[in-house]
Amino acid sequence: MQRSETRTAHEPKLNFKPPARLDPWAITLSISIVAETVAPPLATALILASLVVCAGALLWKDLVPTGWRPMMVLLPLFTVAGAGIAYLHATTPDPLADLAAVEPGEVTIVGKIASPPTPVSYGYTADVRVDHLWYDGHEILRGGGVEVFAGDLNLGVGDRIRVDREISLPDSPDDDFDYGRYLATKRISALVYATYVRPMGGKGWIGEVHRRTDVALGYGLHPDEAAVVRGMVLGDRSLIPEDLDTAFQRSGITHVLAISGQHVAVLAAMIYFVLRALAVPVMVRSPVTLALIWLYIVVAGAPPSALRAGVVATFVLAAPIFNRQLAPLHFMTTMLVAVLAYNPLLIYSTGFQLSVAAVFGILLLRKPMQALLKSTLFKPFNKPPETVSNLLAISLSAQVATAPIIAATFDNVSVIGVLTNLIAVPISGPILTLGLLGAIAGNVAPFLAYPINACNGFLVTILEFTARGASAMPFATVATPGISLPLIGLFYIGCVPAAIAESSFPEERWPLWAALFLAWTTGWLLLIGATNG
Amino acid sequence: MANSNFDTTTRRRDIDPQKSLADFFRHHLPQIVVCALVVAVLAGGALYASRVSESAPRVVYSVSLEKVQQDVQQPLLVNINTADVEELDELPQVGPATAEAIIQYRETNGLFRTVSELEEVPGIGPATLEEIKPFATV
Repeated sequence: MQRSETRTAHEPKLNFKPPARLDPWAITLSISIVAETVAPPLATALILASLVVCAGALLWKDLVPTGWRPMMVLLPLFTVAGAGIAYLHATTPDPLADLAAVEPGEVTIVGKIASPPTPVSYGYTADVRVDHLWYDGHEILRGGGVEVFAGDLNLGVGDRIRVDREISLPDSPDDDFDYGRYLATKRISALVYATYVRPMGGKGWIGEVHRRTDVALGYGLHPDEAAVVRGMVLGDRSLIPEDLDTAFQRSGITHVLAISGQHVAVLAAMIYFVLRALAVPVMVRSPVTLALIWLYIVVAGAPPSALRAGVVATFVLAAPIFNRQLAPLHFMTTMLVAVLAYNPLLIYSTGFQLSVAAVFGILLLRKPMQALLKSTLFKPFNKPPETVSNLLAISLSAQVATAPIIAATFDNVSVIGVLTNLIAVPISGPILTLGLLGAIAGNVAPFLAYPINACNGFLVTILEFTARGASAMPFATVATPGISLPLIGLFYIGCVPAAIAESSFPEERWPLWAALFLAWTTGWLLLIGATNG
Repeated sequence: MANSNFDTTTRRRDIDPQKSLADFFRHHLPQIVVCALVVAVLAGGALYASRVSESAPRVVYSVSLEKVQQDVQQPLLVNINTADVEELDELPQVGPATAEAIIQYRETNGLFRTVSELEEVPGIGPATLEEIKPFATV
């Protein structure tokens, strides 16, 4: 008794009852950042609405469930903060864009290549981070980014260059594409059309890694296959032949070539389990895995999808260190806040949109989809194959969740992708793993890379065969020209019942909501067909 | 029983968050502080990323954009009697060799009286003269 009283006296004054729901903070903050970035009046309306909810929750304690009350009271803090963060970014002066707007004639730029040079009709293009910019004999600017077009750009990421040429702003947006906004998502302010760029010495280590990877993957791999592995390992698709790239798009498996959650997950698992096999303690294992993952993301050029995956991987690996539960949905919303606070314009990046939509689709729709598949397609089986139904549900969820974005961006949706992903997703993990091992082995000794690359070549051939075979089918894609924003919004509103089915409806109803959702998707596609005449 | 013990050891008996607003804020003070800190960190990160980091463009030497615009819009006008090789090189169809020839002509024959006199310079024909005329003066 005495002992018990003593312990009670030293307990920290914490009260965990009733438990508070943490989910709203990240969702509210994200929505507020997006609203202020896309349509500022909407952010003002959100702030006013949050004030009303806050006042209601304070004055009328039964207005919201007890667990939700603290977050509802704090709602204005998050809406104001979100709007403030987006406003801070939007009002940041951009002297580089201001200078480019007056088309001052020739300037001299010294900077570093920030993205792998990619072929375009003009020659090559690459992002360049500006170290120094001279105009009329004076160094007037430092920092910022420009997109350089040049006839030849035989350079790698991190290489230092000098360009002497006119600087200008991107053309005004047309109906199809806002090039300036696309560049802004990469923090690029202006364009430089150069006949040539002058290397300044000092090769970048990232470019060196890319060059060495190219050499290592060349040991025993056909150039086309090496280009695919290079795309999967480094996220650089510039060497993939155009017809093969189109085949990947039409067959709905282009995503395996983009550095995304799947790549980061495979890499993290590989490193984590090797360290665990070496009996490295968890307190060291997780930080080392994280450090290597972020190194990989930087080497891959830190595309938005990789950043998203990296932040989520950080939460997942850091959770055990801080004794926290794994909460995928909360991690995703927190990731959204972190990434959007860093760069709100990423909301306009198609890669980021697809990456976020795919993961939310998998998190929210997978279980209802799997329940539907088990009660229909797999019903004849006594013991339904869990792995296959799960994989099909993941593929279906991701495909459907990303369909409107793909339809609006590329004017067609791959229908066959649901099936091709059943092959592409499982083999992309081994291809990536073997690609990484081949790249490392090839730099140690070429003879070590040959057997690894030979095995990988076989898998890549299957992937290529799948892409080419599926894309050749007449029903591979559905044309979806001219999709408007309200149509996309309409689709996602229709997703809500299926998305909340897991948390809001009994399990036996999940197949029904999933079936209704698929019917809604079909109806939406028919609506687009009717809209386009 | 276990739940009851947990409740006993974690609940602060003197505060009922549902009772009054003051109690509500006192009860949730740690959560409010954590939320404020999270918001402060995110806003700080946004401030750093947008305005302070190395990647943000910043002015190191001020030039008036109006002056730059004027300079850019001002048409190129080269005085062929006073210009050196570099300035003459700016004229259309005039390279370093022709610029040298113009100066040579000027030194031999004296200053140009009209722009049309350029036609006398070796390497400049009627077509070249027509291209040069809008940008040359005497």
